[in-house]
Amino acid sequence: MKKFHVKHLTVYKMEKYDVIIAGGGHAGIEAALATARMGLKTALVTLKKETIGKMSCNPAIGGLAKGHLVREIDALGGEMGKIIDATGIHFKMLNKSKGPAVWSPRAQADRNAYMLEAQRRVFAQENLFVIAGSVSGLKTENGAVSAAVLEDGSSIPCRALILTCGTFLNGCIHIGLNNLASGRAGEQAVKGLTENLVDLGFATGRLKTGTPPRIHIGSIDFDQVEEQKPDDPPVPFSFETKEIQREQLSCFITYTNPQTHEFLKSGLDRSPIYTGTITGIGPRYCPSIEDKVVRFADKDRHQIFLEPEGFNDPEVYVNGFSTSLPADVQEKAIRTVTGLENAQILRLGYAVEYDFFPSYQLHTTLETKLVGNLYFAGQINGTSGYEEAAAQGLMAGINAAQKLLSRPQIILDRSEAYIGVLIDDLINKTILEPYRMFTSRAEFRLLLRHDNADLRLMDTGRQVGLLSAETHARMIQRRTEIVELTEKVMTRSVSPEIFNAFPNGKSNSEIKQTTPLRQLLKRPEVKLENFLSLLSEDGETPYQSATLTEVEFVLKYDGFLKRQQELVDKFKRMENTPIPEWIDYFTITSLSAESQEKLAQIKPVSLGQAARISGVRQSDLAILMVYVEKAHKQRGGVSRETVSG
Amino acid sequence: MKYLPEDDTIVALSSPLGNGAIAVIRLSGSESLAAINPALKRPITAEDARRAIFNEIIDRSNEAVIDQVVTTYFRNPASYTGEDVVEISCHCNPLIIDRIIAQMVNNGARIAEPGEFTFRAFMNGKMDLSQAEAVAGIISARSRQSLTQSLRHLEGRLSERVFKIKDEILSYLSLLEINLDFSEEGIEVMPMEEMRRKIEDTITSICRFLDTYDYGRLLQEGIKLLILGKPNVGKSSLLNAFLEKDRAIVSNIPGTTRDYIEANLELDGLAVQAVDTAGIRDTEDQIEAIGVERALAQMETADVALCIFEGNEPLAADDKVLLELIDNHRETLHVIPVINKIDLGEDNTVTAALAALELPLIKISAKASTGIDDLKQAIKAQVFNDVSIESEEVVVTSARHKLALEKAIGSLENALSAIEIAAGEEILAVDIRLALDSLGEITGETTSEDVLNHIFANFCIGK
Repeated sequence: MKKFHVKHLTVYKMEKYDVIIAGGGHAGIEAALATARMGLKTALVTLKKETIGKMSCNPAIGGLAKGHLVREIDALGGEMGKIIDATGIHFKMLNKSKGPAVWSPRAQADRNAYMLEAQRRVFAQENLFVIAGSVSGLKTENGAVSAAVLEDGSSIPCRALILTCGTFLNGCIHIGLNNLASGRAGEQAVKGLTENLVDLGFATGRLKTGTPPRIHIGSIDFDQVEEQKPDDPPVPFSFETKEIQREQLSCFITYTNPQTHEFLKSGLDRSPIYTGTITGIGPRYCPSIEDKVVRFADKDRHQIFLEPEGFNDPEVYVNGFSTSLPADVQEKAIRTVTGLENAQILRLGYAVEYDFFPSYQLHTTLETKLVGNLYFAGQINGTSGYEEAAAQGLMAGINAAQKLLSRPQIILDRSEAYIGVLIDDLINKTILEPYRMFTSRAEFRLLLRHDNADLRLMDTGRQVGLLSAETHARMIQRRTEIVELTEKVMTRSVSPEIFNAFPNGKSNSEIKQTTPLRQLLKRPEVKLENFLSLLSEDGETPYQSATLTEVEFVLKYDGFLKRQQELVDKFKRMENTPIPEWIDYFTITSLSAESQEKLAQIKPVSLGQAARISGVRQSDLAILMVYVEKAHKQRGGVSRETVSG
Repeated sequence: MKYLPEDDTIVALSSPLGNGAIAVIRLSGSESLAAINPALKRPITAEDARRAIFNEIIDRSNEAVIDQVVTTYFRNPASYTGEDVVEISCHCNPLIIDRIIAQMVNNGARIAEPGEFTFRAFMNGKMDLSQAEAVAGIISARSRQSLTQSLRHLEGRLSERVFKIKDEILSYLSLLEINLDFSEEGIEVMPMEEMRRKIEDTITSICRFLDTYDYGRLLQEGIKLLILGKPNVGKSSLLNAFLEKDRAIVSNIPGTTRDYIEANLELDGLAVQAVDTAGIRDTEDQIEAIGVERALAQMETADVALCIFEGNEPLAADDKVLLELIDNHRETLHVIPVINKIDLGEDNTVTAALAALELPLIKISAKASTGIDDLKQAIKAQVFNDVSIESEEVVVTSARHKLALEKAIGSLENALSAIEIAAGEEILAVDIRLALDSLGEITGETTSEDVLNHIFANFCIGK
């Protein structure tokens, strides 16, 4: 481990910062590094500097759809992919048996190493100052943030404030019927900030999430559980990582059984959820084990992943066994699971309730609509997951910096990135449970692949100054190669002698005459890599596998991709018709009452966004268009192009 | 997703649907000429701007002439919408209108949304603000008006049916999505063979639904009912009997040459245009012969013919002419033999002769108003016999709905071909989602949230 370059850990109360970030979790880290790297004097205010970058829940980064987010963060010049590449101990490309659009990288992290690596990067960053403390309020001037107020009453002046408080806002941990104010096991909650924001006019709500018990690695009978080996070689997240250095280890799979379920049910009368102590809404995609047992009573077993938290860490994360049942029930139930008969619980599972701020209160830059230069990112917006948080932190940081530097805002749209889908959903949909990314949320899924995140986003990363010129140049090179390779494929044909010599596994796949390669590629069993020798004069294959995948995918499925592209084009046209912020929907009497309310609440910036708001009908859109035009003219001929939300 | 794209070409009937002689179909957009010219006998050229041209619309699938029309081309920007516009004046027959619009849709035009022509006119600066406001008013007024009780009922049941189809699709789309988003959960996957069967089932049920479109047209546009029989057999009395019972009369319109009388009436909700012909009579008389000829001409366009006989007297020579007519036309239109004046006694030879036709024989007394209900039932039974649907079933009545259903079938067929080439779930999902989008044009959008809701409600997710 390299030495930390720890700087300025004292509070500089009189000093003014360009940007203050409240919270040192995955959102806060990305936001702080982004603003500091974009040249702004940045302070990261966190309860304890030693817990910056801590993985509160499972020790893994990525996963289905989440892996896409990490790749996008990386392409924009963010940090998460690099940290996990340095500290991952079990890399796996998920969905590898399916099409490339839904492949998604995931890695288990050495939990402690991940945290330390994140801290190393934060502490080493120029322009970035870490302040131990808790932001409990803010001051405003002329409708914009002017200072962050700390718990002790002192305040730090700033030009922009990004709140990334995770589950700490009035956090409350439940184990059985016991509960205590806490943002994370063993750590205090943040009080006062919610109340301050409510005073400023913000609406707030309450969500719940949970975490499973951790057990001692020495107490698991590894002969009784299935081993899941990591990929060999591991595929890194970051476009800048050449290879994974760290030693890899396995995860393990086991299952609950009817006896486990009996024990769990016997504890329901002391469950904070079933007795009504918890009112916050939990995620349906990550239910507690007691929820699964009750709701799916006909299932006689549930899968459990045993995830080691590192080589030198005795803790194993019991994924799939999230619970807030009392300690005795947790212990009895877990010991009925095959391989866990002697399990020794090191930390109990718990549920945590926390405040969030429904995200319709944000602009697409993640700046709040109520207070200028105030940004929200991460769980405060009702999301769950490290990756979702990091993506928002990065975008909030980029946009805060862009604004302070008087540069244009950076909005990714739904056809460009999962990050675009994430933020657009947050703002236009009613969040009823912690929001997690799924590939099915992206209507242009075929175009948003993890391995083309560089092609999609590195121009933006370079533009804002977070991505190095060198990395960007490599992407440009790859673009050229893709064009080249596509051209070659389009012009080459394959003779029967060569084609039929390949072992295809199917007897009817032989060809009788020389056939264009692009036509052969349409066959499901034909892979581009088999024909590389035909495409280069010297028989060398200079192309990266991601480039081969890209070219093969685009040629194989061009019909389907064209249909997606047509939808994207339609989508863009609507997105490019702006609606000015000052439209008063309540004066447009021909709109339905429901539409008026929804539109006034969300204040869409474009007709496209208005169309995605539930309850807004086609006829409302037509009316809206008419009034937008009228309003522009009344404002003295401001052209549509120059007005944007 | 709800878009109002502005650069495609739209088409719609611009005159009100009704009993006018001429209907006007309007086409607007940069590809207007491309949308209509393939169907025209004399394609429109740039030189034809602002000229009304006598033309023929041809169904290119069988080269049959659909209608003789007048086309007028307005070149952009000198048109109502500011785009290239073509107006087609055709005969006002719903079937003709439909077929003409279908030609243009086949050539790339899209059926316009309500108010969309005016909307484009505004966007292209062809209208000032006060006019535009009026449009906004009209659009909202129109949707309020459309919320009449009966319509809501009809629409509600229609969407219910479409929702059922959507649910069906959602159930297997969810399985695909589970396999993509939750592939690590260990949930069993539907084999592709079964997926194919399910998609085919959906296509079948949408097709069956589409079949009701003809029935729907009958309900909406009504049928033409011909009343035939020798003079004084009671044709007018029968018409009056219908009219007495059902008060929904528009008017009694005497035919221009007094050789037939038309009346619009309603039989238990079915709109009927009843035509009381001049008597069918075997005659040397020239004028009367013309009357008979006209009656025969009416038979060409009618849906149902009631052939009236007197029950109390043996068949006369004129009756035999009528019997012959029945024989010649029973393949092309629904014929119902009717014995009138049953209150005056029954001649068995008549009954026997008519029964021999093996058609549903109805006995009535128009004067005494007996048997009228049976007759109505028989008419409806004949009309709806063609479309094998149950009386409570929902029917497709709007061309837009029909188009949406056809688009959904197209997308599902694309999905089937994706299975054929062993494409992955994510590829298959594109077309299945497009099918849902098309159905969404009838019922409102299906969002990814709906898909996730379905998954969370039915599968144990979450490790």
